[in-house]
Amino acid sequence: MEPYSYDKSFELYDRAEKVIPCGIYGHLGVGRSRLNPMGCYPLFSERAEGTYIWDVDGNRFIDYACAYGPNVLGYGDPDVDAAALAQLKKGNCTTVVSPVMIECAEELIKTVNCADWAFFAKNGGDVTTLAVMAARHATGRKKIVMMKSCYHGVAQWCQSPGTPGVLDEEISSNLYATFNDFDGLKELVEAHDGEIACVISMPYSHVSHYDNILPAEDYWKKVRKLCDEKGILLIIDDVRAGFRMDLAGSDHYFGIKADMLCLGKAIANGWNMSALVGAARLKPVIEEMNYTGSYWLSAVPFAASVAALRKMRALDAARRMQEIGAKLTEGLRQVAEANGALLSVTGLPSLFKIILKDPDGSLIPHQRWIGEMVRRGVYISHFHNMFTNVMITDEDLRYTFDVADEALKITLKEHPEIRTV
Amino acid sequence: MDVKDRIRERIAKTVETANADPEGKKIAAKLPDGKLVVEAGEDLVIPILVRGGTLTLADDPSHPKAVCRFSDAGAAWAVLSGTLSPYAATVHRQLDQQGLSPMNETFEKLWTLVRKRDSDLREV
Ligand SMILES: Cc1ncc(COP(=O)(O)O)c(C=O)c1O
Repeated sequence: MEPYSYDKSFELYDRAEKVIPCGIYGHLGVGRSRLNPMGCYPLFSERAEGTYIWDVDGNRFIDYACAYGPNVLGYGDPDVDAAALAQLKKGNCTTVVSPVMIECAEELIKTVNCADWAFFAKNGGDVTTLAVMAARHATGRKKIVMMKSCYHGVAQWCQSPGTPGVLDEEISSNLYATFNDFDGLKELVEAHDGEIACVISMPYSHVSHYDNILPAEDYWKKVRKLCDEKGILLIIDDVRAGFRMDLAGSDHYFGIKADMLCLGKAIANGWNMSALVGAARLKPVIEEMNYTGSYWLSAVPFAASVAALRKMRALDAARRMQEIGAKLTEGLRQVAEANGALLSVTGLPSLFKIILKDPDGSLIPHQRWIGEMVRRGVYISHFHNMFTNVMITDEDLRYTFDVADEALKITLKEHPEIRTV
Repeated sequence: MDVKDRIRERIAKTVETANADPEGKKIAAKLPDGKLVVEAGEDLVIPILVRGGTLTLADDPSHPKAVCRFSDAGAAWAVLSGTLSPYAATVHRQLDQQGLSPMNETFEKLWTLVRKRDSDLREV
């Protein structure tokens, strides 16, 4: 297959670079080797539909990044977008809120097991920050426990030491535990008895660049019990995994009930909103917080979310995404095996992580392989876990396997060291 | 001083900053163990070994965990000295960072700190 070229993308970058820091910044940006090998990834898109994006050069991609989570039902889902556009005709960002906000809260409570109430914001980071503030306010305690190398957004409290603009004082009440190491967590909690407001964690470890780690069989139940015994609130950050493991919440998937659950990304199929949901006893705590934003109560995303939640329930979307992900990852594993290479597949299939293994653990052949796939229309990020959505068809999967095979043969010529046989 | 010597000196300073400077040490603590190879054209190859956040200049560039490859010495010096943004350099393929990204990212933060110190933007 003829690899894609990206002339218009690169022309546009030169314009962007003059007027926007980094040209394109953040998780979609060109920094931190995210789009390396450079020249393999498009930089700007023209449109998106279903599971596909088309770039400004007219190239089509099956998009397994799913906008890094929001795309669950397909880009431009007709039902979700119709609900959003109907609301837009009535009003969006207005002085008096629309009752669709109540409908959205009611849908969330119906869908998510631990939700007795819902508080809305825009980004995932808005609600992880609120959850931590609320935990501190509820318990009167200062310290918070988070997992090493976790990601909860970009507010100062959740950045790591040495990050530009982050003061040591802003993170000096953070304690860091290792995901899945219950004994270590217990030790940490006992060493700071009576000082810890909350444990905040993703439902399982999906740290960029590394294999993902699922919790041990009884890990979450033990953590839940420990938190109860010590008066610590348990916050599950489900911004990324939410609605892809279990519509009722990833805490529910692992057999526990979080005190607060942070939701975003998939909640409205790409319309911009997030939500913190939680236990009834914490509602008065939230009521005492000083927390809001200009666009947080805008009506259009609420209407989109109501439609998205209903459609996800009707389609049993989480199960469907798991099934698609299982077929996808098994097919990719077989492609690697047939070529004498080793592909590690970790995490859950609906938010899978793949790494083509090399003896030095450098990821250089992996990046090469992924890059050659992207140039042939299969968009995968080399560093992040990827996602499935309900619109991926068997034909898309077959195309993906063919491209994976072609790209791997190219990679193996340059990196024979990754052959296992 | 020849540009290649300047680059060598700047990389050596970056290693020193990672090992001895309080802010540098904080950043270097995030470096994964392994070998990072900085290259600027064919005849300028600087392997750096990382163990437990401590950096040492090495001789053998084989088996890297990460490679920070500049297209040539001019591009390398432009990025290290701050006249060329690493983002633009990446897009224009004057800087190609391969391998374990946390290693490249963290090393980039270290050389940025050295540049800031050098240009008096920060007190030593
Ligand atoms: C687990 C997790 N928490 C929080 C966030 C922050 O969400 P946002 O980028 O919407 O602020 C993200 C974003 O990727 C995430 O993956």
